[in-house]
Amino acid sequence: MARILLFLLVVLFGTSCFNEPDCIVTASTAIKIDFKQIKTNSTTLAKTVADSALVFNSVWVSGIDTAYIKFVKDKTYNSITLPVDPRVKTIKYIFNIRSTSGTISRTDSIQFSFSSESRVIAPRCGAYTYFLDLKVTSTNFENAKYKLVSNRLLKNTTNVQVFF
Amino acid sequence: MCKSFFSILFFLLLSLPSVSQEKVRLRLDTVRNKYMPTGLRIGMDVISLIRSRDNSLKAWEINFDTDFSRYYFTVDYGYWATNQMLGNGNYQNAGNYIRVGADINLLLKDPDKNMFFFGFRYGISSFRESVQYQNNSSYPGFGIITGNETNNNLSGHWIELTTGLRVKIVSGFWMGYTGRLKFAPSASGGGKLTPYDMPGYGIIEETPYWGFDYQLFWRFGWRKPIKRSAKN
Repeated sequence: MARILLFLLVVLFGTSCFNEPDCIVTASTAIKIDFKQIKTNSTTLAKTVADSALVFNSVWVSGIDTAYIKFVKDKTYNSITLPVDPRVKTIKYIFNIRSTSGTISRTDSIQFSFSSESRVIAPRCGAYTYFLDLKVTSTNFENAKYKLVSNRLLKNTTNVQVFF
Repeated sequence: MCKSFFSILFFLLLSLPSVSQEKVRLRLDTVRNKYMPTGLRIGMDVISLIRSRDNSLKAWEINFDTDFSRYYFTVDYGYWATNQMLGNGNYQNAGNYIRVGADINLLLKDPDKNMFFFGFRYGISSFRESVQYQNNSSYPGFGIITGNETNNNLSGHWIELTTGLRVKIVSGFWMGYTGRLKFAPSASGGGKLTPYDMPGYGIIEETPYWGFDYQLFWRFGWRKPIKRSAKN
């Protein structure tokens, strides 16, 4: 009998905390690109990866008529987060990188393709589109100059590292 | 935290039967026909029917079990359809499920066939689901992200550990409950919508998932149970 009473208590306790889903939304609609550089120690020849600070004259995103990022004096970027257009399956970014002397020193571009899926998180959180299968479809960066780190677009997650 | 506590207690209780079996040894008057079923019990889940009064859920479940001495072969068959308002849209699903498994009765010598049992189930579900929602894009110029996805032919399976009581109320009529610890869910056949709520199981990404049925049973016997004695 004691065992049964214990069991009844357990059941009552269990029903009180039934299946409460967590409301954690990790979906992102932007690609995060980090700018890196490889430094070589002159004595040990050991290579290390460090952040690279870039100055942009402008950054263009396909589907947006104006520059998404414009030049701001003394503003440098070691990482940028650029939106994807959910209405299409590819997105192209053009970087006009400014030299310290103030003239445009180079223009780079990178184009991605991606797919999407829908996920219901919980009734009170709702449903979200998760972008995944991110691929670089074209770029003027050499293969060794960029690295796809994560092919899913998630909050606070770097997708691509570009080395300068 | 809450679930973890419940899980630990549940598994502690699972270990109790082996202790009690050592203490009470039943001797059968005869071993002949020991495992011949004596009847079929047919039941229904009351909680599903009560919850179906709400427009967000339509569900029913019927249960069958038959005895093989202290062991019961069980089959549950049910239907489950939800229509849930989301924070940014709407989600619907509908489908049928079946669970097959066995229970072990710890009250074997009870003359009324009352049960305090532990068991397991293997569940299979066939269902469809759809979702409609809207979200803002990270760049306003890209407009609103709209989702309208449907999975028409999903199938899935899972495993359950169960425990519960069956208490005879009047001749031929039992009431009881079944608590379910569901785990190892798997669903296949999904398209652009990740399967969310599997009939018979619940939210697929939540594991373990708890279930609780309050059941009414009617028993149709065709043979009297073998008399048992507690004497060694």
